[in-house]
This record gives sequence, C-alpha cells and structure tokens, in this order.
Amino acid sequence: MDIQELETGQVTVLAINGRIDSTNAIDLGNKLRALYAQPGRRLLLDLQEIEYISSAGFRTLLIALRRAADTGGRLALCGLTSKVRELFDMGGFLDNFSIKPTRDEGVNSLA
Amino acid sequence: MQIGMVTFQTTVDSKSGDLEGVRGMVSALERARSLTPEVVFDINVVLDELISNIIKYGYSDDAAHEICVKLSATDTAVEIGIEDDGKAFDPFASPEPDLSLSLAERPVGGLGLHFVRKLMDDIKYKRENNRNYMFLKKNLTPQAQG
Repeated sequence: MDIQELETGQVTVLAINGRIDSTNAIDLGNKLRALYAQPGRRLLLDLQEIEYISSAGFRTLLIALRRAADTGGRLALCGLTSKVRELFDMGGFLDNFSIKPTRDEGVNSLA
Repeated sequence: MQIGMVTFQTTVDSKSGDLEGVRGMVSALERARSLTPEVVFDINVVLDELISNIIKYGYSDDAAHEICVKLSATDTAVEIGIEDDGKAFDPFASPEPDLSLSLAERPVGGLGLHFVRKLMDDIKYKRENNRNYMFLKKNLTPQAQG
C-alpha cells in the first residue's frame, strides 16, 4: 500500500494505491489517527487505485469515521470502483460514509 | 478451449503472517487462467479474511504453525482449499451479522466472514485428524474467463 498525501485548500486528500488488508490496515490506521490528532481535520480518501479492501480495511475506515466525529473533523471517500462499492454495500456501509464519485466532488463537499 | 485444471499451492507461516506467497499464487492463477480483475478481487479478499482469522484466533500457543493454501481453477470455477492445525473452528457456523443494527451497535468482527459467504458460491468445512479443512468455490461465468 502506498499513500500519497496532498493538501487542497482546507482539505487533506489521501490517495491510496494497492491493497488494504489484514497485513497493512494498521499502517493506514496509524496515518489516519495522526491526521485526526489535529482537531477539525477534513479528510478525503481517494480509493480509485486500490487493488482490494478486506474487512480489516473497513474496520480502519469505521474507526476513522468515529475519530472524525470525536475531533470535530470530517471524512469523505471518493473513487470507489464497482467492486469496492459492492463490498461497502455488502457491509451495509453505503449510508454511513459520505461517498463522492470524483476527487473534485469530494474536495468540494468538504470545503 | 479446455485447458483442464490448474493448481497452485503454498504455505503461510502463522507467526510472520506474511501473505506474499499467497498473493504470488493468486497472480500466477490469474495469468494461467486469464481471470477477470473482479474474480481476482474476490479471491484476494476471501483469502485475506480466512487466513487472518486463523492467525488471529486459531492458536493458543506461541509456536509457528503452517497454514496450507491451495488454489485451483477449471474452466468453470476457482476452488480454494485451506488447511490448518489450529483449534477446531467452523467459521461458517457463526451467525450472519445483523446489518439492520446501527454502526455503533454492530460488532464488526463478523464482517469478514460475511464477505466470504457473499463472495463465494460454495463453502464447506470439516475437522479431521485434529486439522481444520475449508473448501470454497467461486463459479466463473463465461465472461469471467479470458
């Protein structure tokens, strides 16, 4: 997994490349925890380039969602491929996350 | 064209939890059978869920154990076989998660097995000679092959 971080105005975009699974979800979790250590953080996760995501990755995203709420921050997702969206649907998570089709729309939704 | 069955096999060290060998095996099968990215996605998720489950819950000692993983494909299906010497545990005997509960009320632990049930077409478990055996099958639609 490779995470590219870029700032767009008040929004921090994390573009994730590769797989998010049981062996590396902890790395993403640590990254998100460090970012949300700053109160009011607005974060967009671009999932366009992920190879796959397993339940360990979903656990990390759910924790990030709670952390965002606890720190006055926000979290949005973008770039879900049809397979990734299918798993969000299977898990019943589509309504829990703010999901935008493109990075621009994601950034705008948080700006 | 009928190519017959292609089979790959590898082992995972329960201590290191390194899944590189498993990923290499999935890639090899993908190339050998021209599997679609969708099928490869499903196989990767299922292997991650089941193997990480064994590593997390399967052993009560601190020793290194071998988890044997076998992957094969015919023209019509991909089959996964996983064998371990951990505690007796049928992962598919656990109840389905209640997705109607709110996020705060919902235990996230059963999510991985829920994915496995949904992504696979056939799932079997048996306990024999103090070992767990799982057999899973994913049917390939005609479009899912090259």
